[in-house]
Amino acid sequence: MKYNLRHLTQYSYPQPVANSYNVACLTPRQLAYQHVEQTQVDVEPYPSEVQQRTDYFGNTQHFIHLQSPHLQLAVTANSIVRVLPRDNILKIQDGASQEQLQQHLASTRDSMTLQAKLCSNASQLIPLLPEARAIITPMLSDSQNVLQLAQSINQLIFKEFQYDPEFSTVVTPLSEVIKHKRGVCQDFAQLAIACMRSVGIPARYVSGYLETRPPEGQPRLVGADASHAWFAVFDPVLGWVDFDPTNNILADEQHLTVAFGRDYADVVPLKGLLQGSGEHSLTVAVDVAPME
Amino acid sequence: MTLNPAQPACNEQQHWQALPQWQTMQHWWQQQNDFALNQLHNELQHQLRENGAAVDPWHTSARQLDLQPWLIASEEWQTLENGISQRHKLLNAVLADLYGPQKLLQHDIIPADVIYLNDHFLLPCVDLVVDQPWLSLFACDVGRNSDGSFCVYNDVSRAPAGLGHVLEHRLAFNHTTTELNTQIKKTQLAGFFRQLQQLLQQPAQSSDQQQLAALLTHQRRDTAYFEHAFLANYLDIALVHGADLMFKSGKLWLKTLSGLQPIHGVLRYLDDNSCDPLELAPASSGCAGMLQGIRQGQLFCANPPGSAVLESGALLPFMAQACQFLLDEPLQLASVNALWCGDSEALNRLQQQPEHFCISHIGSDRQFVLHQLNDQELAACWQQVKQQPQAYIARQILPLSQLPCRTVSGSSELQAGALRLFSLLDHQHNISVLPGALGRTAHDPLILQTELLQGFNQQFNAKDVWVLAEKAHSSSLLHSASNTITLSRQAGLLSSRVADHLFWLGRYNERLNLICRALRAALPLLSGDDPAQGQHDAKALLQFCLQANGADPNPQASVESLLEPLFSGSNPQGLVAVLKNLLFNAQSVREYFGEDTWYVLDRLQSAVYSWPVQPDWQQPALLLRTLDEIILLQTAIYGINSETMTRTDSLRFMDLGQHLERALQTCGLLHSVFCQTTASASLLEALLRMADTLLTYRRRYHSALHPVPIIDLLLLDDSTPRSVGYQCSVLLHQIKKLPPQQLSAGNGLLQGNESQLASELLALLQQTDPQQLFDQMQRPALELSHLLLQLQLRLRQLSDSITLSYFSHIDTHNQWQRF
Repeated sequence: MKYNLRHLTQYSYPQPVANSYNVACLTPRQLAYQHVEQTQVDVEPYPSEVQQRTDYFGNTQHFIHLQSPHLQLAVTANSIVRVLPRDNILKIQDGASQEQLQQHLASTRDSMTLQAKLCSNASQLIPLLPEARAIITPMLSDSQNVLQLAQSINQLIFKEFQYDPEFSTVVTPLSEVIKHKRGVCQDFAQLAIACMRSVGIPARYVSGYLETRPPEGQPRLVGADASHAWFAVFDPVLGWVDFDPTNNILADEQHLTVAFGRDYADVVPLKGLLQGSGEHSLTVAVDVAPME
Repeated sequence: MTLNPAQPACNEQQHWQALPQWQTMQHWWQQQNDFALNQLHNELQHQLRENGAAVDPWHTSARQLDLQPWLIASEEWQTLENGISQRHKLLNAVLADLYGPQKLLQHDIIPADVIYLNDHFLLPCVDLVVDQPWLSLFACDVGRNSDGSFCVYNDVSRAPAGLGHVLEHRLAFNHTTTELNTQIKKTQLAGFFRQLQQLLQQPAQSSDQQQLAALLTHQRRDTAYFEHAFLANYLDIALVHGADLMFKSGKLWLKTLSGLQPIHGVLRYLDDNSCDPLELAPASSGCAGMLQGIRQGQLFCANPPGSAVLESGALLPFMAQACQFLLDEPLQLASVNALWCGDSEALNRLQQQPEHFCISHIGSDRQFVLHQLNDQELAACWQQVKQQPQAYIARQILPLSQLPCRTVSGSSELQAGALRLFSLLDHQHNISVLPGALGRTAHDPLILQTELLQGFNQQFNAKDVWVLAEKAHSSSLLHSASNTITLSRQAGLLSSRVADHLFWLGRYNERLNLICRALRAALPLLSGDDPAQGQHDAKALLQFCLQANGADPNPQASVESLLEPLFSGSNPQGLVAVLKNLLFNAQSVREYFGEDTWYVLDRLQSAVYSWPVQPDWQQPALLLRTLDEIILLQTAIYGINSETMTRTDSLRFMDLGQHLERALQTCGLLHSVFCQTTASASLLEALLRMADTLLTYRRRYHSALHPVPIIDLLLLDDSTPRSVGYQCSVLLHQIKKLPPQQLSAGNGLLQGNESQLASELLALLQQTDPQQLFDQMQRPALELSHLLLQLQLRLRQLSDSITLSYFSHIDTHNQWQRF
C-alpha cells in the first residue's frame, strides 16, 4: 500500500513564547517492509535552527530551536510511504521456543541481539511489575513458542482491557492501567512489553500510524486519524515481529512505522521545553491517505 | 581468580625509612614543640575555605588537614603515573566504544547487562562525542594491598571531587610550613592546572585564541559547591549554573549583563542526567540544548554526560580483559579483586568466602558489606542478589596501608590511608597525571572504600601528598600559573545571577548594619537614669529593628518581647535571619571575593553568634562591644570590596543594593521615631548618634535638638552620607552607569525605568519643605508619615524594577515548562 501521510502538531500560547526547544521524532523509517519515497518536517514560524540526527535505534530525530517570540508553533511531517505485506501471521508457528531464544541471547552478541538484550530490561516507563508477570505466568506453556505467547498476550489485552481515551494520559503509570484495565494504544503496547520482559523476552515499543478505513459507502475523513503504537517481540530467526494489541492483529500493510524504542519516552513524536508560564493548547491532526 | 583472605595492612613508614626526605621531616618535626605544632595545625585548618563562613553556624568543619604530609618516592610515583596514564587511556577508549560501536559487548569482554542495567548508561548520549575525548578528566581511588602494591578500587569519570581540595591543601602548606617546604623538594602542581585551563579555554585544535570557559555546578550550598567556586576562581573560569546558560545557533552562551557570550569549554560538575532538561531528566537544572551543542562539536565538555557509566565499580572485574582487547597490552596498575555476580561460578565462590567482600548494585547505591551482616541479613542479601545477579558486582575490601596521623590531642596514631589520583587527556591524546593526590585517612579502612560520595560532603581527614622530586621547582603555585596565562575575565562579563546576589548582598549587609546601629543606640537608654523614659525611647528603636526585616509594628510590646525575637535564631525577622541571608548571597558569589573578605565574613559570623543567650540588659557594656565589632567588620567588607573588586559592574550592583537599603530603612527609622511614638530629646540624640550625625548637627545648627532640622539633615539634605536624599542621588548616579540591556529577547524589550524612578525620588525630596512636615507645635504632621510611606513604596518599586530589568530571566519561579 502507498500512503500520503501528514501529521500536524500545533501549540498555541496565551502569551508570546521566545526560546522554545523541541525534539521531533516524526520521520517514517526506511525498512525492508516500508519504503519512504518522500519525507519532510516543516516548522512554522521559521525556526532559528533545525538539526537532524539518527539515534541509537536508527530513528530520525530533529532538534528544533525557535528563538523569536511566537504565539503558535506548528510542526508538520509530510511523507509518501509504501508499506509492503509482511505476512508474519504465517511465520509465527516457525518461531523460536523460549528456550531457543534464551540460548540465542546468551550466545550471540551481534548488534541486533544486543539491542534485543537492551529491550529485555526495565525502562523508564516500563518498570518490572509483579502485576505484569502475574498476567503472563498462567499463559506460559511448553507448547507455545515465543511469538505464539506474544499473540496470546495481544489477544488477552484486546479482550480484557477497554480502550478508553478519557482514562489515561502520557504520564499514567502502567500499574494504573493494569489496575483499571483501561487505556489507549500506547498503554496497551507498554503493558504487553512489560509482560514479555517480565519473563525475559525482549520486546520493544513501536510508534507509527494506522490506516483507518471508513465504513462502507462513506468518504474518508481527512485529519481524523491519530498516532498509533504497538509492540514488537524479538525472534532469533525472524527478527522483530510486530503485534497490535489495540486491534488484536499483527502489524502489516496498514501499519506505518515511524520509530522503535524501549518505551514511549524514547520516541515521543514532539517534545519541547519553553521558558515561561501559562497554559497552552494543543491540536494534533493526522491524515493517512491511501494513494492507490 | 583466587579470593585472598584478609591480609594485614602494611605500614607506609616502611616505604619512607630509606628516604632522606623522611629523615629531614622527622628531624624537623622533633625540633618543634607542642605549642608550635598546635599553632601550625590550627593555621592549616584555617586555610581551608569551608572552615570559614558557613551557611550553618553550628556546622563543624568537614575536613581536617593533617600536618604531616604523605610522601611518595619518585620511583614509586613513576610506576603509579604510568599505571594511571594507561588506565585513563583505556577508560577513554572504553567510553568511546560503549557509546559507539560497542565492540566490547559484541566480543563479550564486558557483559551487555553490566552496561544496560546501569542507569548511568544514557541512550541519548550514543555517538554524542565525535572528534573529542570522552574522558578528558579522570580520577581514581588507589590503595595498597597487603603486599604493598597499589591497586585501584574506584574509578571516577565525572568531574572528580577533591581536585580543588588538593590545590587548597598545597596552598595551605605553602603558606604555613615555609621552613619545611624549602627543605623537602616536591613536584609542583601548577602545571597540571595550567593544562586543564588551556584544555577548557582552547578547545579547538586549530585555534590559539583563548575562549570563554565555565565550571558548571549544581545549586546546593554544600562543601562541594565551595570546592567548585575555589577551582573556578583558581582556573579563572566562570562559575555558572544551568540558568546562566542558553543554547543558540549550535553553541552554548553565558547570559551576562552585557549580552550573551559564547562558551567553548565546560568543566561539568553537574550530574550527567541533570545536564539537559530537553533530552535527559526533564526536571533537571541544566541547560536545554547542551547535548546538541556537544553533538555539533561546538561545545567541549569535560566530561560529556554519559561518562558516569564507568563509575559504580561495574567495570572493575573486566578491566584486564578490556585492556588487552582495546590497547593490546597488559593492565599495568591492578584493579581490586572484583567479580560480577552474573557469572554463576564467581557467585558460588563468593558465597563460599564472603568475608572480605562488599557487594554493590549496578543501578543504585545499594551496597552490602558482607562481613557486617548477621546470618539473617546475609541470607536476605543473597536472596536479593539471586533475583537479578547480573546487576551486582562484588569487590574485595583492601587492607590499605597505615600511616601516622596527628590526633586532636596532638599525639600521633596510625590510620588507614588511600589516594585519589587525577589525570588529564588533551586534544592531542597526551595524558598528564597530577603529581600529587588527595590523601584521605580514617581509622577504619572500610570507610574509605565504601563511602565514595561524589562531593566528599561527609567529614574526612585529609593529607597533602608530596611526590618527592630530585630538584625543587622554585616558583610559587599561583605565580607560575598566572604568569603564563593572560587573564580571560573581562569587565562586563558579569552573569545576571551574580548581579542579583551582589545586589542582595549589598541590601542585607546594610540592613544588618542599621539594625546593629539602632541596637547600639538603644541599649544605653535601657540602663539610663530615667528607666521609664529609657524604655520608651528604646522601644522606638527596637520596633525599627524588627520592622527592618519585615515584622509588623507592635506598639503594645514590652522591651523584653521586642528583644527576644530579635535574637532568636529561628525567628525569620531576627538578626540571625539577616545574617544568614547575607552569608547565603555572599556564598553564592564566593568567587568574587578575596581571602580577606572571607576572613571578615567569618569573623562577622562568630561575632553575631557570640551574642549571649540570656543577655543582661542592665549591663550593656559587653553587648555594646559585640555590636561595635559587628559594625566595624561590616565597614571592613565595604572597604575591602571597593579596593579589591575591579569589576566595576559587580561593585555597582552591591553599591546599588547598599544605598537602596539605606534609603529604605532610614525612612523606616524616621517613621518609627517620629510617627509611631513621641520623640524625646534623648531619643533624638540616640537617632543622631546612630546615624553618625550628632556632630554635624551641632556644628550646623548650634542648637538643642529639634525635629525639623533633624528631618532636614537625615531625610532631605543630599550632602549628608546617611541621609535619604544622599542615597537617592547616589542611586541615580549609579543607575545611569548600568549597562544597556540586550537580554530581554522575548515579550518585547523591557525598557527599564529605573532612572526615571530614581529621578522622581530625588524630585520628591527636593520639593519638600521640612517645615510643612510638622505642625506649629513642632509635632510631626500627617504629611511626614505620608511622605515616609510614599518614599518607601517608591524605593521598593525601584528594587523590583532593577530585578525585572537585570535579573528576572533567571528567576527560579520562571522554570522550564515541558509541553
